[in-house]
Amino acid sequence: MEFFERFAVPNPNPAIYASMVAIVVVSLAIIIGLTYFKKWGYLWREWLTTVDHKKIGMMYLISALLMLFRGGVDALMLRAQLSMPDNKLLDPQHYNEVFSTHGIVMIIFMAMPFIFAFMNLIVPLQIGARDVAFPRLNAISFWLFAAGAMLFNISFVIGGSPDAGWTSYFPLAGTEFSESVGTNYYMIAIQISGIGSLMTGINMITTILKMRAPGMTLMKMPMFTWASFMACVIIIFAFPVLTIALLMGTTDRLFATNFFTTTNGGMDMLWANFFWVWGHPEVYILILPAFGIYSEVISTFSGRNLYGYKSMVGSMVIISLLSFLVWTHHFFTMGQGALTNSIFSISTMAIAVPTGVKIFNWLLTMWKGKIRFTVPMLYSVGFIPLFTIGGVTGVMLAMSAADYQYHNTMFLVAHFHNTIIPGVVFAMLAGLTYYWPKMFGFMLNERIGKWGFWFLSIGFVLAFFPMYITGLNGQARRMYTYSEATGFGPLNFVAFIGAGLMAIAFCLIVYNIFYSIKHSPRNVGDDPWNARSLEWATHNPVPEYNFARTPHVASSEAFWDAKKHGHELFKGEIEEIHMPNYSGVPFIMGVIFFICGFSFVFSLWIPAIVSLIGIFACMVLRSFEKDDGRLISVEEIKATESKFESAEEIKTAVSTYGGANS
Amino acid sequence: MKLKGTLLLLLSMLVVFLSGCEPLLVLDPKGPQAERQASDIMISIGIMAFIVIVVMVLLVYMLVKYRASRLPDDYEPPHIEGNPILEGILIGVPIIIVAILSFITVKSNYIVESTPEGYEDQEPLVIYASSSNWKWHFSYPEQDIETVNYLYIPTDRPIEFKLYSFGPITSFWIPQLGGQKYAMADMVTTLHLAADTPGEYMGRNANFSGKGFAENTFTVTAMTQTKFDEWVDEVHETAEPLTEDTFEQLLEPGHLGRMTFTGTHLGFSPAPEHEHSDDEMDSGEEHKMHAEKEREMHTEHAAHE
Amino acid sequence: MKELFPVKQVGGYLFSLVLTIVALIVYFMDFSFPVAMTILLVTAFVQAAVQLVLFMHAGETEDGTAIYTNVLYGIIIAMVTIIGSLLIFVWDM
Repeated sequence: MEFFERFAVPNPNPAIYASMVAIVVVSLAIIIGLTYFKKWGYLWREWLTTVDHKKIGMMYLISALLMLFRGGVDALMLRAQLSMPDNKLLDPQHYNEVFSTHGIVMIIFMAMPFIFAFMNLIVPLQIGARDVAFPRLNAISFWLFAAGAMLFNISFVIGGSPDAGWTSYFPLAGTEFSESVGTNYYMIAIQISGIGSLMTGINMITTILKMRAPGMTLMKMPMFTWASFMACVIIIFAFPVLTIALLMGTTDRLFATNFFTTTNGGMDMLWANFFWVWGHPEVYILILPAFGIYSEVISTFSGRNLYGYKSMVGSMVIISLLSFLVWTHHFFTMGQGALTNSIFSISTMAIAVPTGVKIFNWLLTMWKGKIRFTVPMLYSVGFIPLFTIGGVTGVMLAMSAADYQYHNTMFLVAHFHNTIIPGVVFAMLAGLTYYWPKMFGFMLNERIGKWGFWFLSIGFVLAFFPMYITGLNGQARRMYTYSEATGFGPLNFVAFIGAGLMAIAFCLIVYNIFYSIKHSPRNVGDDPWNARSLEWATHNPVPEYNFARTPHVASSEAFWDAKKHGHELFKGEIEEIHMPNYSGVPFIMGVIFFICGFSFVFSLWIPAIVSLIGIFACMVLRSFEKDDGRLISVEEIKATESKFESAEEIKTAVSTYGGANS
Repeated sequence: MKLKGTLLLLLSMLVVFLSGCEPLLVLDPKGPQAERQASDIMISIGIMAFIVIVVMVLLVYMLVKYRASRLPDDYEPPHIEGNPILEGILIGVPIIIVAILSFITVKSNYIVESTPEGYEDQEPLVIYASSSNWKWHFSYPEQDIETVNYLYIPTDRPIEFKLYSFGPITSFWIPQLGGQKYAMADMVTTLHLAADTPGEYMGRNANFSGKGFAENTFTVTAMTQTKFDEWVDEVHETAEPLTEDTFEQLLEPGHLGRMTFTGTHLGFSPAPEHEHSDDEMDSGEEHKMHAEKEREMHTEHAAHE
Repeated sequence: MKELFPVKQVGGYLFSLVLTIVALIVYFMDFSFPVAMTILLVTAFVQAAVQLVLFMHAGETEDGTAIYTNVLYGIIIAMVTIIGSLLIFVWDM
């Protein structure tokens, strides 16, 4: 019995028990459902063993939506707790756990897979490749992410959640002040998914550098590919820092190594330093692909080429470099001198310049265009003013002397939500709607999508703008309650209403998916949006080999050239296509990593060592495996192509979606 | 036109919030440091509001003028590459704005990191503010007094807070007197403040430090020097001395009300060795000097008693 | 004959042996800390460069520029991070 006591939740309450029951019920339902409909084989053959970048992208997408739900429920609990002074909904320990997991889930397990989803889905299509450079590594990346996410999410029912904030500052996160295994989960779950992220970064850079279609020079790549490329460059330079920091944190907690303790020669500030050396570039890892999606969407629905392509690329390169020069602005108040603060203050404000260039370039892309207000475009149009507000408050925070007053307050919370939600989440929802037909061959309902957008935007404004004010009025972040005398009550209630509206928006978006699966017409053709870049030059949904013949490209808008200027995209005859084999090893490695992580969290050394051996065994196995891939025959390609072409003919009469009158 | 309406609503909401309610703590400064920070904040809000308005006006113009429903069906948007002059302006103007803000902020950095302006000629009152889960301990070595969770300070005198922590990183913050600074376990940080007007101000730990974080607050009472001296005398007459045992009990995690003692814990539980301040001197040497000065002060006080 | 004998590689091998011996001398001689550290750092970085250029064949393929750009970018970021951290913790306390 003693052995099992460690798995108990240290701080239980009815909601946690209810979640336990729900988890068991849902898992049983899934298992029974799969068995009843005889889908186990399908699941294994088509999804668990897949190395196809499109399927991996879809799995990232589903995970991101699930994690958005989890993080969103956390957020609702937080806002409900703060909606009234002296509220007793959550006790302080629970509040601490909920805001810690909210932050980690949203950044690491929602935003990251969301951008990886689009990188996987779109980048190979935009550069005319058959798959990414290392398809099996790509599958391993996904399953490591999934293992990390699962490990992190079971923390609240087995052993307790992390409770030291998403930044997990030592010594608060050390064993002295954080006794449950929660912070072990933090260290190890993020470590596992972080390794996956690093490998995706390497994979994408190789893909983009080595596998572009003939004619596509670097300066002829579509903007989303450029954005993904720069984001991956940041990933490979930033994530190793996190890996090492987490490793040191793990050994501090498990083996008392005293890297970050305040006694025995440790240095607590070092954790903060490491964390933000990774943490600041991390936000640009998230925002650059989002910028890429906005560039695609705005250009498509303005009916114009992207204004200032070169300055767009240049500004992203500068942002990626500057992102490494600003991390100290997260702790201006840690006691370093005015000189250091001045240097980092100026470098931080400097980022506003390339970002401003991008904003004006988007505005100038709309200039003289022909703007269609589809759902993706609405998100992009909503993004510009809201993100500008988030950006300028960032410049305010960058003024280090004034930051002494903003730091650790709701003003800061308002600021970063103001950049991440309109910046990243809006972009992902725009991308979801825009690329939905690319993935599944039918459209999401525009009407419901627009309702979703308005609920989300208005909810966002109501939820976060009041925080700027309460922050300036002295409301610190992460306070689980406040007294009535502080006067924070009414504005926090407004924020709660806003959070509610955002929850409705989320429900509408999910409802839209189910509604569209049932009711949307299936024959939308290959170009439902009247789009411009290369990913639209193939069929919807994309066949497994992406392009029957390799495209030849002459500009960043290859598909537009083909449509309007008679550019010949596909030359020559259809030939055999070489594709990678599916493999179960990545999934198995993910499972072993999960077991390994779980064993480390609870210091169960025997299973930990056994599973580590298992991981190496998988790697050795791969080294000796002879796998030349497989060939798709010309007949098979022709059969697939003709199926698509006959579908296309039926549809030619139907006008383009979101046409002039919408 | 939904968009225009929302934008107007937003702006009017902002105006109502900023002007309607009673002044926000940070924008209602009672000391020179907070005043400097509040003026920086107001300047930046002004400049930033200008930028936001420019972007919104441009956006609304584009959306209204170039929406598809207003354009003829056969309108084909032109192909426009970038324009070096226009893009030059778009880069140049932000650079100028950033340069202005940089100038302001660098100046402010040196101001908030030194003795408050107008108080340079006075000897600062040194107060050691240390946090433990979840309390604040204020030691007045000069007056030989220690308080818990409340702070009495004289007005019109610069105050030098020496911050450190007996646990997690905390942040010492009195919004109306000036911005915050971290208190950490392995070093001492310095925060320069001063109060212009007598009154009672909210102070708190702003950095998350565990379960009791929300209630980790204290009150600051600023009073004239004479009243402050009266209070010091009163404490010496009435309060108990702080013993090592009592102090150990105070450090136990939990919450406490206001408490007052004579003597400080600095004697038996000195502040961490490492100094983390903005002085240009070699830190080791400087620390030695500080330590010597303190020893002198302590012996002086002992002599008084 | 010239093509068959890998002059560069053998030379590089000998050079890296020399570098190792120089670094080893630090252990046996009684240098002051800054001198010892300088020798170690210089030999270490030269060693790394030798490995990268000669034995990992950086620059020999068509994307040699990309590799060197990446290395340069990495060095810049590493230097900035180290200098920044020193600034925070040591030089400007």
